[in-house]
Amino acid sequence: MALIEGRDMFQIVRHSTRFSLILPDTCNGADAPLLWLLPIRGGLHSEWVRHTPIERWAEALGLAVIMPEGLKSDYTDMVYGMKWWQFISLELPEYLRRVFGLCPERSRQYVFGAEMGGLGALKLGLRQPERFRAVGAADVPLDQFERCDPLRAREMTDIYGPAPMDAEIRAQNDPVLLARALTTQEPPAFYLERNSETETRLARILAEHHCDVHQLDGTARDWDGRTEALHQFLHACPGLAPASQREEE
Amino acid sequence: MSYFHVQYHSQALNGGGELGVLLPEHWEDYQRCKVLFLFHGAFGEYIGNIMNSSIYRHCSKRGIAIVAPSAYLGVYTDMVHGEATYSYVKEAVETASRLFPILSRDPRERFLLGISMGGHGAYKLALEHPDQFAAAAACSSPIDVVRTMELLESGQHPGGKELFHAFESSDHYRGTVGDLVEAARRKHAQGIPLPRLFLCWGDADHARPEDEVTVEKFKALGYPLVTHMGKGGHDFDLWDPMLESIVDWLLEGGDFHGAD
Repeated sequence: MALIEGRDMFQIVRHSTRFSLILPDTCNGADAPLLWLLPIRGGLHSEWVRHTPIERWAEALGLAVIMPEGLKSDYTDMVYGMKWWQFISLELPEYLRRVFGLCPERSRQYVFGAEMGGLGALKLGLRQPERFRAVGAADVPLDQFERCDPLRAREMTDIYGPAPMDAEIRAQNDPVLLARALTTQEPPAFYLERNSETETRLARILAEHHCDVHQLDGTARDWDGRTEALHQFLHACPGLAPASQREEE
Repeated sequence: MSYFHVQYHSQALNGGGELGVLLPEHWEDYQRCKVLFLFHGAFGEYIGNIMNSSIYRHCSKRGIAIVAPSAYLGVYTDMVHGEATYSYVKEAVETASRLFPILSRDPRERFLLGISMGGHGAYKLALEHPDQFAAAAACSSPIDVVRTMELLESGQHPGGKELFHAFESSDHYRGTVGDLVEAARRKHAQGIPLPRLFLCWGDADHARPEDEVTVEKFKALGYPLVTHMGKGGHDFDLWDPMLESIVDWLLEGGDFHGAD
């Protein structure tokens, strides 16, 4: 097991960008399943390592884990900021293939996040459904697309432009709208909380679009809750099993 | 700047291992990056050579990645009293190559450089695995550690007692994989070519007498070293101005065009 703290100048974000990467000893690039684990708003790349037992869980599952930073971008090509969506959806996957040989098949790639990271996870799963086997998202700020929190008005403007939100920008970023527009025949499985009306609505729309939708119990508003949500996700994820069980298969 | 701090479990240490990996700027222009394995001196750790010198800039310009393990105070030796730090460094070289497939595995594109104690490690790997590296360079290094131990035992060497933890005595080290004069003798008897070898030291360097004897011994064995004597003592004021020329020499060989 190796924990790599990396930083590099990425061309799309034009910013020296940091990430944590866990690689299992068995890792032979293409062979290892890969989890994208996204931080909360403003969080450092290392926060899942610092606040949860992710390294221990990854070791048991033989799982590689990439944890990129995303500042306060909502993983969006920001109106006043950098192109974080292109970074996470295009440049970083290619980077991981080139530098670390990571190129898992779709059936072995997962994404999970909480809060802003949950939004990033949903966007990756809904805009690039062909890449992921399962998507987990907890405590996602879904309601921000319906009504802007005045305390976050400036942040929202930096990301999405001045209110009211441009319809095309919203269509690219609001998980509820992305779910309605989902056309793929083979969508990933979704693991979601159902604590709000919007979350319940999102789950219903995904089910109507033939997605396999599962419920994450609890509320992931702090690190206890996020740790529990990630644990549920890894435990339930199709295709992930501890080494001991894999040998029996 | 592409910089990676790697922490992992080392089988050789049965404990924590640590590496720094730096890719050259514009690494994306290369299918695979050439690699310099960079070994630090006594009482140091992986980042010391990078903080104290301009080695990254010289390597980056030439498309060379740096892999620098923290090798602890073990003289790149499986210590008599202590950890198996030579096995650990060999494992670190392999671990970096496994974790970073972007690093070249072509022996023509893999180089070794050690400062002071690190030079012993660089030569040791070059002599044990001559088919894996193109060249090795050492700055002010105890290449012939058997001789170093003899000097220590007779009170003629400034090194610390820590060296005895690694070797116990000159007799104990003689004939082992770390007896590099003997290793070179065996390779020569078997007709095995070695990577190109470079050794430099300072005119006011405590390593100077040892290194001058080492040069004579290797020459007598049919492995002439390329050498250079800089001005100065046993520190980065001596080594840093030579590093660009050393990197060029590692890549291209030939005569050494030193910069003093």
